[in-house]
Amino acid sequence: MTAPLPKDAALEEEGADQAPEPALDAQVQQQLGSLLRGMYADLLNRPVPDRFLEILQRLDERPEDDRP
Amino acid sequence: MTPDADVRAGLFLVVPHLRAFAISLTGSLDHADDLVQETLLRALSNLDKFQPGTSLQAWTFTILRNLFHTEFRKRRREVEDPDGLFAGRLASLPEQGARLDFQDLRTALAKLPSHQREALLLVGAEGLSYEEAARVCGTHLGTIKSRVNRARTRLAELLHLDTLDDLGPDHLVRGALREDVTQAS
Repeated sequence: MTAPLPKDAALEEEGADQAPEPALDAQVQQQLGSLLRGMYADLLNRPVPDRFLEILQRLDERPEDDRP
Repeated sequence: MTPDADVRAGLFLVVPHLRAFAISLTGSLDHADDLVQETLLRALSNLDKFQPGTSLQAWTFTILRNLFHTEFRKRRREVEDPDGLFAGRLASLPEQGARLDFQDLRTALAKLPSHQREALLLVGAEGLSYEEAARVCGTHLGTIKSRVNRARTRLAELLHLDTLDDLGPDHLVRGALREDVTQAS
């Protein structure tokens, strides 16, 4: 798998970003940040499936001359 | 350690972050794990393209994020139905020892345009700088700031977040918010 990394796909959808910026109450922003980080921490703490570790370990054993 | 071995060791540490980002981006454990797997395979087969000294996290997030959008271009209908399938999947993600019920947040996240959702997750949850998030998303700093700002505003509306005195009766985070405010004041 040596395909180049895909280029950004998003740049053509910028239109909606051009309107004036809304302002958010600092306290509300803080509440939201705390919620997001809490949800994310829950996800970060979930056990990683073995298959990912296996992928990384398998490649550890790959001979030098097999690399791209 | 060879540079490659260094990077591979770093990848072990990045996996939980890739997974958390992918789950909150897609709302589906299966989809997220497919994305993470493909990301790892691509990263490993492109190790020579990684620039030592730059952020391995940002590099792998870029790969994952680009895969996500490439897929979505092929399945356009899902992008244009953010309140339907996508929201349903997010809401049904099983809890695992969560201290709070994050279902409302996931449902609200799913209603954001994907570019706003990813920007907010990168900056507000993963903790990347705006500059790093802009690089990951292949766009400009101002665009990222704007997307994060819009995402926050929209989420606050969807979750009925207002000043503390004005929280809705069934709000999910009342307890946690009290903690935060206490710490902040």
